[in-house]
Amino acid sequence: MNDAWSDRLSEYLDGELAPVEAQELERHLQECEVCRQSLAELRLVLTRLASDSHLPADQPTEREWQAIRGMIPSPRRRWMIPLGLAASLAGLAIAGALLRQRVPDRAAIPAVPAVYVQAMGDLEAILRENKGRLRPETVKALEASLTAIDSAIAQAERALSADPANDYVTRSMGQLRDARLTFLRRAVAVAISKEL
Amino acid sequence: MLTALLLALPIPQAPFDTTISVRPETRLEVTASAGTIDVKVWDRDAVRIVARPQRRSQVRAVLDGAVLDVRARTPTGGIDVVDYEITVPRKMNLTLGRHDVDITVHGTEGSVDAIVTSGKIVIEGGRGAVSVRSFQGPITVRGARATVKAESTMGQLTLTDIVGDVDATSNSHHVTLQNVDSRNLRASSIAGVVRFSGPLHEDGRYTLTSHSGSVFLKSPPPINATIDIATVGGAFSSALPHTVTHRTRTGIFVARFGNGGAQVTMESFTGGLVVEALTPQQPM
Amino acid sequence: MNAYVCAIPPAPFPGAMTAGLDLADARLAAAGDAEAFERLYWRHGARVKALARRLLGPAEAEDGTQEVFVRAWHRLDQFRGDAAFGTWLHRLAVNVLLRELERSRRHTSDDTPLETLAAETQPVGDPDLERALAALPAGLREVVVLHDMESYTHDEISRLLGIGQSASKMRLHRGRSALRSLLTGGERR
Repeated sequence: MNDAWSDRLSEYLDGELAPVEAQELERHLQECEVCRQSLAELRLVLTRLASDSHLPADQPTEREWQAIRGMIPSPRRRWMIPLGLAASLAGLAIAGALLRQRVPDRAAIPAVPAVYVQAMGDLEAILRENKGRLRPETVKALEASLTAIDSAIAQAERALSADPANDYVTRSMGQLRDARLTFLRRAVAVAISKEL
Repeated sequence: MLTALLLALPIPQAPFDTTISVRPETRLEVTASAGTIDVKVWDRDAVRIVARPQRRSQVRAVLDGAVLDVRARTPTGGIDVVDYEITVPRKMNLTLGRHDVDITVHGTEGSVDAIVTSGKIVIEGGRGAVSVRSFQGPITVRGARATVKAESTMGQLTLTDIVGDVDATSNSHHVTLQNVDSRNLRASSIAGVVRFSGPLHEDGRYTLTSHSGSVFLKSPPPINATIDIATVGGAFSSALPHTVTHRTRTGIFVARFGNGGAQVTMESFTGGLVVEALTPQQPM
Repeated sequence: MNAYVCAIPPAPFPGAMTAGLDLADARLAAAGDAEAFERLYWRHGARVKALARRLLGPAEAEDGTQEVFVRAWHRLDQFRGDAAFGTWLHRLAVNVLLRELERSRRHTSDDTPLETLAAETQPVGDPDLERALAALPAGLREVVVLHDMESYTHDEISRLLGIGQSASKMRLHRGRSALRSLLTGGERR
């Protein structure tokens, strides 16, 4: 059975009727058994819909990640400077090799990519905010480690400006930046995952 | 096939003590938020788990197919400090972790995969693969016949009496490889000293690097190696006869010892690079 | 699996705590860092899969989730960082999944009996609700899911589906009423 109000019950439930209309509907409900029944059943439906929470089957799985991973083309990280030719040649077991190529001098000092700087800044900010969740000796150790990496990077930068074509220094710089980023990521992960 | 042996002991003070039969292919997986995990071996086809939780945890040991999963749950879902003493079959593979836990394994002949956020890890033994990681805390591996991968972000690494490929890295602490017999080896640190002693095989590849720490290589004579040297502010020194070639700038050159067989890389930005002969009586 | 990739435990965190981490990882992933993307997957995968399950049903939830993440990978440079990553991802997920829903409707005959649909599904929390949602006529399921399970407003839904707000309200009511009939088993109009 249908009446003028039965199609507006949802709006009423969602609080979308104007106050005047809502009052009229409530007066109607007092007289209409069918609409009262419908309203009650709609409430049950809403409760049931709202009760659907995350199931165990919703959880991420390693298998699913591998499937996704297989479908995304991933270049190597763009700020990693490739290892010098000498390093890759040295990886071959060349017994008794006499002449080996040294790596050709690199042309320019690679600029620090903006995305790297941003990620670094974000991670540092998060670490600052969450330092209080860590034990004091852990914080001290973190800061000491970060200081060590930073002074290493500063040294590399000075060396690079004095000798821009030095491939060892260029390579070290890339590795140090990478190490700094990895270090911050892990520190943040530990800080955030600490259960108080 | 799921065979679940659920043994819960809600009484806080009494230790949990159970022994479970396992098959040869069963792997042990212990996940602890805090406390200690101490693993010993025996010759039975069974695992004995003794656990002492500090609070009202339920310790669960569930045998699910090929994995024996051991963990504790507190009623409120928070963490508890649990001390585990576990005795396993000699060849059982071990996966141990995960947060603020000290882990000790005595004399295993299985593979070991151990991860902690902070805590001390000591592994004696290990076959096949030993993979150990910590964010904060020292790592010691002794007597492994395995591919060893050890990584501590802020912790010292000590690997002794190893046969197998080795990859050992620390950010801020020393890395010491003593009596390591390997054909594929990498040891690196940023602020720590890197020490390696062991044979240099002529078909081997060895990479020893630090940024500000010195790098020491000791090997039984005669040493046959081609060593790529790189340093900016440091210095290379060796009392053993060698020839220097391919010098492209101060600090970057190749040092050749003997017939130049093993391929070695030694790098330190500001530290010293030292190559010495290892004599039998000489300690590290 | 490199354990430190998941140094963050896989269980989902309260959104506020991970917002900063998401931003950093989204930027890294946009630059090609797959490990960063994996962390985002572990943090947000459950919410995406629940949405996929609600819109497409449990049988298609996994495929739908994978589609969403693959699309997200390619669209990462469009994430500005002015909203939370979870919100951005959710909007993207809704778009991808609605398109999937459309596509699967074109390929499924309307005569597919309810029992067959039910047999294809895997065990879920509320099987009757699942069957009822699957039985809803086209256009109603998504409005019910988005409004009553994902808390979208009619304004947002109308823009997403390209319909008017009053149409959105009407579909919502018709969807709820249909569910009411299916779940109570009675004859209602």
